[in-house]
Amino acid sequence: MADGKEEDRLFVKDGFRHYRRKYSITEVRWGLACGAVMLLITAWVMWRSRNPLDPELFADGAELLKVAVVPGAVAAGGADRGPLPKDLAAAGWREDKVAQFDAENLYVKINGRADYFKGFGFKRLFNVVVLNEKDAQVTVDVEMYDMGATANALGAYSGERAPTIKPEVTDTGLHHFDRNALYLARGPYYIRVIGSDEGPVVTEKLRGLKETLVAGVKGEPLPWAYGLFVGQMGIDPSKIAYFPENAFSLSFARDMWTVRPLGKDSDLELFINAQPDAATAKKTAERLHKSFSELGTPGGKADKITLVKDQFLGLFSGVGPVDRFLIGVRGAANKEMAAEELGKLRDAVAKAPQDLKDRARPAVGEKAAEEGGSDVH
Amino acid sequence: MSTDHDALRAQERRQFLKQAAVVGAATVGAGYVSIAPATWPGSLKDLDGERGKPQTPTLRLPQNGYAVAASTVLPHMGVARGTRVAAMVRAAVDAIGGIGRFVQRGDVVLIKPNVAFERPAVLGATTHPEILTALIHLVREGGASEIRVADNPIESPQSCFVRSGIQQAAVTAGARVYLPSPGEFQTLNVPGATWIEKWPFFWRPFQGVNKVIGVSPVKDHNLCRASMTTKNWYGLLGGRRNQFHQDIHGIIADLALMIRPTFVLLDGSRVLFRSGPTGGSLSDVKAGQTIVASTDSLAADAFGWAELLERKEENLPAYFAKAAARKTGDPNYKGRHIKEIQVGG
Repeated sequence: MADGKEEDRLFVKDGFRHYRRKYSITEVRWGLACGAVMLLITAWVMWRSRNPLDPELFADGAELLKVAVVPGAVAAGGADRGPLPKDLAAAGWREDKVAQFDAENLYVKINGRADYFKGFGFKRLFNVVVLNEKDAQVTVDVEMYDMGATANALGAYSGERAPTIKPEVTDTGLHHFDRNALYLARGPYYIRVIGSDEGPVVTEKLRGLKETLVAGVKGEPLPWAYGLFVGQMGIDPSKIAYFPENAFSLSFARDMWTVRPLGKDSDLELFINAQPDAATAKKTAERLHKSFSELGTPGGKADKITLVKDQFLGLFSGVGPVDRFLIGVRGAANKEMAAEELGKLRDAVAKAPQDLKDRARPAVGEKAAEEGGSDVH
Repeated sequence: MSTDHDALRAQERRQFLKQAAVVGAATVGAGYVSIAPATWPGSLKDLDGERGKPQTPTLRLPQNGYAVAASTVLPHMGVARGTRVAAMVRAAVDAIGGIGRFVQRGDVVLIKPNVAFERPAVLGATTHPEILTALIHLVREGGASEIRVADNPIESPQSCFVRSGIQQAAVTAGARVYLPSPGEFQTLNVPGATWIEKWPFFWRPFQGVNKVIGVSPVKDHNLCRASMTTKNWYGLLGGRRNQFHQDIHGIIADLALMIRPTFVLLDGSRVLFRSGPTGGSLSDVKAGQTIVASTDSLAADAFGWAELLERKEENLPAYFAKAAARKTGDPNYKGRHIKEIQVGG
C-alpha cells in the first residue's frame, strides 16, 4: 500500500489519471481477474455473433439466397405432423418444417382463398414442403386440408378441379393429376400436392406421393350421392359437386348434392338432398320453390314438379319431394328437357338399393336445417 | 375597536366572496369539461375511451402521391405484346413516354411486386422475376441512385421472396430488398379512406423515396374476382389486414386512394385465370403474352379484366366503380389514348 507521500502525482496533471506508484498484490489480482472476465465476455460475444440463436435476425438479402440453395439449410422436424404420412420424403428428397393452420389463422397461409375452404367446413391444414436434395429449387408442396367430413372434402376437391379433368374414382376416394399437381379427396381430407414445375423429377415424385398418400391416409366409402349419380345414373363423377351451405345462394339450402349430367356446356343441373323425414322434405321443397319463384314466373309442370321460368335467363327450375328426399332441376333450356332429366333422377332414387338410401342421412341436424336467415341472392 | 372589527369583517367578507367565486368558477369549469358533449371545445368526455389512448404519430404520403405530371399528348397506357419480356417492358414504358419521363437522375425508386405467396413464379400467383429484372434495369437506365424492392407477403416473407425468385432477381439486378418486420411499420393517415384512414403501413422502404412503381401479375381472385395492380398495394399494409376481406371491394378502393404510383406494370405474360389468388396447377395458368404500362391503375386493371382474364362479357368487379368515384382513375380504358406495340415477330 502506498503511503501519503508517495501519492504525489507523477504526471500530474489533468487529475483524471491514476497517480499512485504502487498497488497492492490484492489490487493487482482483482484487476487481472476483471480483465480476464472482460476478455471472456468479449470472446463470448464474438462467438455468439457467429453462432446466433436466431440466424434470421442477421439475415440480409444475400444470406437469404444462400438459405434457398444450400440443401440442409432449413431445419427439419417442427410441428406435429398430424395425419401426414411419415415417409413423404423418399430417397433424394427431404422434408422442410411441418406447419399447421386452423380456421383462425388459415389466412396466414392462403389469404384470399381461405374463405373457400371455410365454406366447406375447414378444420385444419397440415403443410409440408418436400425439397429435392440435388436442387432445392425443385420442390413439392403437400397441403392436407382436414375438412371434417368426406362430403366436405369431396366438395372442396370438386370445386378446385378444372371442368375438363376426369378424376380417377376408387371406392374410398377420388384423385387426379394435373400437369405439376396431384389432387386427392380421401376420407375427410382434401390433399393438394403442388410441384414447382412439370419436369420429370417432379412428376415422378407426384406419382410416388400418390401411392404414399393413398397407403398412409385412410379412405372412407364415397358418400351416398356418388352411389346414386355414378352407380345408378352412370354419370361421370367429375360432374358432381357438393354444397354444405348456401346452395344456389340460399342460406337455408344446405347439404346439397348437384350434378351436371349434360356436361359443362349445358346449364342444366340436377340436385338432391336427404331430409330426416318426408314431412321435412316437403316443407323444404316448398321453401325452395318459393325462393325460385321470386326470380321467375310459373313455367308449367314436368315430371309432377311445378317449374319456374327464370325472368332473366328464360331457363326452367323446379323442386319437389320424393319420400324423404328433395329432388330438383335448375337451368333447363325447356320443359321437356327438365322433365326427362328429373324423370331419370326420380327413377334412380326409386331403384336405389336400400342400404344406399339408409346411408343418405342429412349432414346437418333437423333443427339447423329449419334455421337460417333470409335468403341471400 | 368597533371600527377595526367592522373593517376586519368587511375584509373577511371580500375574502370569502373572492374564494367563493374561485371555487364556483372551478366547479362550473370542471362540470363543463366533464359534461359537455365531446364535440364542444374543451370537453373531456371520452365515452369509448379512444381519447384517453396514447396518440401515435401518423404519417402522410406526399399530397399527389408519386405521380408525375399528366400528359395531354402521350398515351395513358402502353400495351406490348410478344414473348420477349425485357423488350416488352421497355416497349410498354416507351409507349407512355419512356423511362426518362418517370425517373430522373438521383431518384430513389421503390418497386412493389406481388410476392404474396410461397409459390414458384411459374404458377402465376406472384410477380415473375423476369419482369422485375427488366424493370430494375430500365429504372437504372433512367438514372435512379437507389432501387428498392419491398412487399409484405401473406406467408413467411423470407420464404415467399426466395421461392418466388424475387429475392434472387432483385439482388442480382442490383436492387435492395426490404423484408417486413414489426418495427418497420408506422401508422399511415389516408384521408378519405373508409378502412385505412389510420392503419399500419410498411413505411421503412418508403423513407426517402420519390418514385413508386407497382408491378403485379394478372390473377383470378376468390373474393374480389380479380387481383391486379390496384389490389397489389394490399402488400403494404400491416396489422390484422385479413379482416378487410369482409369488404374486399371497399379496401381495394381505399388502396387506390392510398398510393398514387409513378406508373404501374401489369404482367400479362402469364395469367392465373382460375383458382386464384394462390393457384397451384399449371393448368390454371395461361400465356397472356402481354405487358401493360400505365399511369392509371384502374385503366390497366380494366384492360387486364377484359383482355387478359377474358371476362369482358362480365361486369367489372365492384371495386372499380368505388375507386373511380374517388377520382383515383378511370376504368374506361377504351375511350382513351392507348398505344399497342407488337414486340418481335
